[in-house]
Amino acid sequence: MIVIGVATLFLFVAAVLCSTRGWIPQRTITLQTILLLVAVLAFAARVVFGPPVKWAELLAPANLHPVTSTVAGFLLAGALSAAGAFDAAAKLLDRLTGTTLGLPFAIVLLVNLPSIFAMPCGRILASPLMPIALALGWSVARLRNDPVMVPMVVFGMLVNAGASCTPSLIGGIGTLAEGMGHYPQGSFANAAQFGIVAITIATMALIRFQYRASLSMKATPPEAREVQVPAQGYTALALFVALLLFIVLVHPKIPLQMLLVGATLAVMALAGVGFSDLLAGVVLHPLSAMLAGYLLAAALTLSGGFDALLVILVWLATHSPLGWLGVAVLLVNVPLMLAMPCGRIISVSLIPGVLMFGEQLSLVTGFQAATPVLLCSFVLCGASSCGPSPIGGVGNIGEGRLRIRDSWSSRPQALGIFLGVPVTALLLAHLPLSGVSFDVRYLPVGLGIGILAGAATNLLFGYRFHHLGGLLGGVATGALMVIL
Amino acid sequence: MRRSLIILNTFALSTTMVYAGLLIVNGLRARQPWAVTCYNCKACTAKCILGIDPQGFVAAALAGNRDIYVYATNIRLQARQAKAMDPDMVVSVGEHRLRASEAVERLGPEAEVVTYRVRAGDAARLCLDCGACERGCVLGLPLMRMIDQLRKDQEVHSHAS
Repeated sequence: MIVIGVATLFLFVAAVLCSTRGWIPQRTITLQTILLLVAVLAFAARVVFGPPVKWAELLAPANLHPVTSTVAGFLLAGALSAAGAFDAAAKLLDRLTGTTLGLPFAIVLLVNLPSIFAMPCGRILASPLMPIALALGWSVARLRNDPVMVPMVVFGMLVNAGASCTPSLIGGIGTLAEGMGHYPQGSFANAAQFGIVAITIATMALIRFQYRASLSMKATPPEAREVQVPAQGYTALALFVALLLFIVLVHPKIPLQMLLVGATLAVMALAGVGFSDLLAGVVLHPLSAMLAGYLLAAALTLSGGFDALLVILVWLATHSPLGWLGVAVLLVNVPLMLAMPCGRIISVSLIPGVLMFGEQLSLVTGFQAATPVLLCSFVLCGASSCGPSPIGGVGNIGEGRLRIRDSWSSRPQALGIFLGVPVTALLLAHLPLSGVSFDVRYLPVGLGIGILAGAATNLLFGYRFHHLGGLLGGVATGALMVIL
Repeated sequence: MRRSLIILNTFALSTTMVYAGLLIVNGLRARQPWAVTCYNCKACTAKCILGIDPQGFVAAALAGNRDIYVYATNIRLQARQAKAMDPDMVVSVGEHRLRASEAVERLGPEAEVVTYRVRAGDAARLCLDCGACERGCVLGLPLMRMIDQLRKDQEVHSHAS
């Protein structure tokens, strides 16, 4: 089975590379088709060479939650857009730009908003926040006469959204790791949030300094015109913000998709929005790529692909100079190398192996917190990896909206995650594991990281590093992350 | 050629949609429509003293099959008991993972083993009914009802065979 596992794993990596590098053009065979073909081959290999298998096992690893979250997010975004809520947000941002706080305050808060509110799936907020990110991006791009500022804001927000399911206390991937590792609920949340801030800043910096040369953006800036915002636009926006606060503060025992659909219906009634407005925003590509990803993950699990990966890693730890520590670093970044459209796929498959590695690492290093540090870093990397995933990741939404070629944003996002995850590891290694939602011991760290993030944002968008807007935005971000 | 590629791509897209549809239909057929709302956050797993992953019961409902394997990492059995329950059950012996049938052959029928991956129906039978998983669920999903149903199905299946 190990040989089949290695072969199917290799096939998967080769297929994804061929598709995302354009060696097999999307217009010839779509990514979904390639993923399904690999899934069929992996499943066939298991049927022919392995022990008997049940068809139902292809369905077992699937999770409809990210799919329904995406649809609910699309519907709410459609309703808000038709009601004029995004025009209202743009108008408010315009007014904010005129104040002392200026654009940096709004940018710091917006790009970090997904992890401040931390929904159990980043896609819930990605769609509704996208128009605001675009408006903000084009404003700052116009001001600085530099179009690269648009993808900086957009992908900063998206990588933050992708990772934001780690600190979510209402069913995020972080709780999945805490549950499987038997750690207190919410004990990874704050450390993960601060790591996500670092990931966001690193991604924006990489886009500005490293990847601007390869940027080919076909989207055109919106015309600068005075938009009349209807009164119900402001009400719809207030309703959206109130809904987010209600979810984060009350933790209702209601599926978020139902709350989002409820809010969509409320906005429709309020602003007289029709069904056609809602459906116009629904895009099937990320949904079908995600589902194809689930099918492939199930086939890889059945053919022993993930087991083979663990066998290879254990062999490397015991027979190579990397040792357990070196391979642990490799293991943490495996989700980035095999970026899936939802971090839960690879997290569920590999967490038992990560726990085993953590125990070995504790023995080798004599460091007792090695297991939670490794687990939280792995899961943050896994959750964030849906941002750069070329197979239906959340980054695809930004590439579609900006008309950038598929998976252009994968590299800056992946490198940003690679640089930001160690921040979480360091914090978790030195801060106590806390099971309470508001732990005052995290407040100074939150404020410190917020100030650093604010100063970095100021510099990235061409302001002086001590511009008040960025610094205050950073402080607000850090404080809200600890408090909410 | 171009036409056949379009058909192939459309077929692939349709297959993914059918896949999603099948999960929903299975959830309805299992009389557990709420299963589609599960976040797979494992808050329930952290609460189970037997190390059972109750999300596996949800996965069994969505897959429409009580024989899919779920994690149950803290139940001590004799090797022969494990084999009698399911010869393909994965058990832990120290750091090693074996099938129950292999454990009997290598260690003898009286050897103590710890379960690792068991069928959802068997996990439901081994469950202590303490309800900790249901209380721990962030959505308050009726997991005990699911376990009850799986247990009854398993009994019916055992009698029939």
